[in-house]
Amino acid sequence: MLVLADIKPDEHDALQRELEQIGIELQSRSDALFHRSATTHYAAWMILPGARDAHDASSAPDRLLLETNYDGQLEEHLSDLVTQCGSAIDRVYAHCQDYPAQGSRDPKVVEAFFRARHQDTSKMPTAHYVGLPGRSVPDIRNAIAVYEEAKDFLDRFDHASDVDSIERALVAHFRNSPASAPKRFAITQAGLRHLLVYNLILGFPLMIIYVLLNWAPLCLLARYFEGKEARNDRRHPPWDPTAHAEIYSHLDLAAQNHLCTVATVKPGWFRMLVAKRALALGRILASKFFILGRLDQMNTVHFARWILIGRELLFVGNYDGSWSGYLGDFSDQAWGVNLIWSNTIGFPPTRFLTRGGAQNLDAFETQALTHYAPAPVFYSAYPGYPQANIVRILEFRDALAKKLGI
Amino acid sequence: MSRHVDRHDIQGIIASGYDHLNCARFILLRIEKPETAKRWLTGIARLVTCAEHPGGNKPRNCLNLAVTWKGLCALGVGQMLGDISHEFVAGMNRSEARSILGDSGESSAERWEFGGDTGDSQAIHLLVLLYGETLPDLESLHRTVCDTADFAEGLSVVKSQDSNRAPGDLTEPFGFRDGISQPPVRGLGGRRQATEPLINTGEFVLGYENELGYRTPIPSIDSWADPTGLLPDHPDYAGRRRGFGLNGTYLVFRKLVQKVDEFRAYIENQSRKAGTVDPRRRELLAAKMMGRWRSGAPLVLSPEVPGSEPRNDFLFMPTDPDGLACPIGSHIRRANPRDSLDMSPASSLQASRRHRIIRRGRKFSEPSANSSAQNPKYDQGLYFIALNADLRRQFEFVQQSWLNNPSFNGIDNDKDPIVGDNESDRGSFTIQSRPINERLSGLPRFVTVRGGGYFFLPGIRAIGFLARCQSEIKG
Repeated sequence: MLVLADIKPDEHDALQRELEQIGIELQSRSDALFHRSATTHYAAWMILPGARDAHDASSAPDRLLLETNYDGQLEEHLSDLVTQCGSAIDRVYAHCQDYPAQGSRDPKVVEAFFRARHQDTSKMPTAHYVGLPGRSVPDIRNAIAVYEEAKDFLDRFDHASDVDSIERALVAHFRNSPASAPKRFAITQAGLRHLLVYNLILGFPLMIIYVLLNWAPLCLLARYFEGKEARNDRRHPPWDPTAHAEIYSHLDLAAQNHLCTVATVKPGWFRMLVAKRALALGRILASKFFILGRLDQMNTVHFARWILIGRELLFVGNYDGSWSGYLGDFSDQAWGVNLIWSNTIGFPPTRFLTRGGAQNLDAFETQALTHYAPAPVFYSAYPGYPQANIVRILEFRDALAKKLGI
Repeated sequence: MSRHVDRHDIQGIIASGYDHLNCARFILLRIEKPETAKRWLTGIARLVTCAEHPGGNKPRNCLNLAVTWKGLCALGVGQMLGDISHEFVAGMNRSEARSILGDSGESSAERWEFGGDTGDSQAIHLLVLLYGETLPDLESLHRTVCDTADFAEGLSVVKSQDSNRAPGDLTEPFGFRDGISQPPVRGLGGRRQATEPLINTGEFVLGYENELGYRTPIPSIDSWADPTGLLPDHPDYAGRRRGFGLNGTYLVFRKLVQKVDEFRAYIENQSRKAGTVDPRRRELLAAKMMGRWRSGAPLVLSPEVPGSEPRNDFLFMPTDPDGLACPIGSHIRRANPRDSLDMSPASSLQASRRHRIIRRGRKFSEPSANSSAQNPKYDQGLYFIALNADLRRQFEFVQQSWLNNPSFNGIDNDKDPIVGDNESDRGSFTIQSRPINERLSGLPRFVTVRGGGYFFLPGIRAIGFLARCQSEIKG
């Protein structure tokens, strides 16, 4: 869910302080705010600069973005959020234009406020990668609880025992009223593997044809535009980190982090076309092929979303590890990053749309930093568990559930 | 983009650890009078050891020099620089470094002996590295460098630290053979092996191609600031800017104290059976934590019986993919995963090559704070020195994403057992084994940080520029 609200004029700083305060409360209390929501995987609040198109830096109001990744239907999720986080929502949106006066005391009005500002991704160019498709928060939390209990149980074993007796004891422990009973859920990794094979068999030939017919001409045609852009672009002055020192302090807060960037598509029909087609390709790949927890090679991404609002390309991602490690991983598979972002102003130059560009990691990092919107409020439903570990944990719980005959 | 490596302009410490020079002294200096300090620099610039030895003879002493961001500003150069590293400017003691480097608790910057203060009154500007084959050789160099009128008037000594070792002693204070794995650098005498191709020069020297296929940004100044052409031209801004940082690199300096008694006590406790310590298990546990036996022989090549050859020509995946010989969380597997990261072995090797550092540390032993004549106590540790062209992608990455990462390479919740920032006895270490893993708990932090800083190790011509550049500040 992406909700964009205009901030009242001159209230940018007040809202920033409010968000920082809420961010601190969220870290220090395990029952505050989003912790109470049963449907939210990730949530973040961040301030975006005013919308601008490629031709002028107009004085459109700054905006507040609320981004969540959730289970179930939008209506239930909105209702859940307004009910559980009403007071925080009131504090935050008091700084935004047109927020209802009575606030969360009248939940229906607040839900309508959100729905009106919700970016309906079915109606705009977008691509959405989910690291653990089909897995709900209760599913993941159950798997984690079962796994931790199993680990504690196994710590008490003597190494002299053999595999079979250990396994029998483990299964017996979970059969006889354990603290966390393994549950069966609709999706399993095995099921996803079957689906992938099915998609590959059906889809791979189609993808080859699609790439040849659509992308080969685009990449060749791009050379003309890249050449034109190179002649027009001024050489970037050397990066001065002393001028942007405070950006770095927002970047690496925990084991899981958030990255939001806002870029503007270059003028002209070609770049807009490539951007839209790149998002369409991303949609196909994310929904049909990248379903086993890896975005191409990267297994550190929990959620990643690209959305084109007018000529603005917005990116929000939740990932494991350090920001520079994250960008470094993206840079290693630069073809995808280049296809999408080479269409935006300021991106390092590419060749044939896929070469160059983000392969220059320093230039790519500079681009990300200068377009970065920090999120003072960032919530994770399972902090401390990287994507790759959760996949393993889910497989373990599913295998155990099968042994128990659930 | 291959470029001839100009060994005459590169400081010698990058190419060699001066293994035959057993005595070392590291002097941290503050500039009190910039113009006088520059006169001193002019005097010693010709003594700085470069990476090319005339006639191949090994010198009896060596001198190298590094400067901090504050030092560059004091000399009037800092403000002119573009494309300088953020980590270098903001410093090793910046607030986010706490979590990136694990400098928390006992190791937090507020407690450091040097380098922890962000104020200017305690600032460190220069690091002088002196090396000598014997102590008289070292002292002779020391006199030449530091016993001058310009030095006395223009500089003050913040801290002077010695490291002396017996000839041929290559162990660190926990008793392990150290410094075995060094990246083989193209153009600096690196020797390629079957298990390890050469690493691009640009990973360790600015101005050359790095492992990502381009040149790491080189600190540069406008050409008008160098009218006499002391500095080389900048390869990417030909004519408009000059490459101040060409042939230079970034240097990490950290004083690490190693809790030798606690380490011994821990592994002895973990290897007690019916009250007595089993020496074989004790050595095995120590080796499992490090990844090598104390002799330096890697566990991958000698899984059960202690080996004696400190070999480095091995990979993990062919014989030890599950960590049964060398645990996945062991120190050397974290510091250089080689082919064992969670991706194809070829990709992992390529990734590992992008996060290497050259290590030039020297061990020390000094009286503890609570040492007395009746009850002498010694602190032992390491002056950890690392060289890399990109602090963020190399040194800081290894600390944050590999050594101190509790989820490194699929592990659940362990940090590096030897150097990790394990929190007051809550640390754990998993030893992969069959039928089930063994988990050691109650692991304390064995290595604490007592001071440090980021330095820039300039090329020889850049040192000349620092000594002679026109500065706007009066001194």
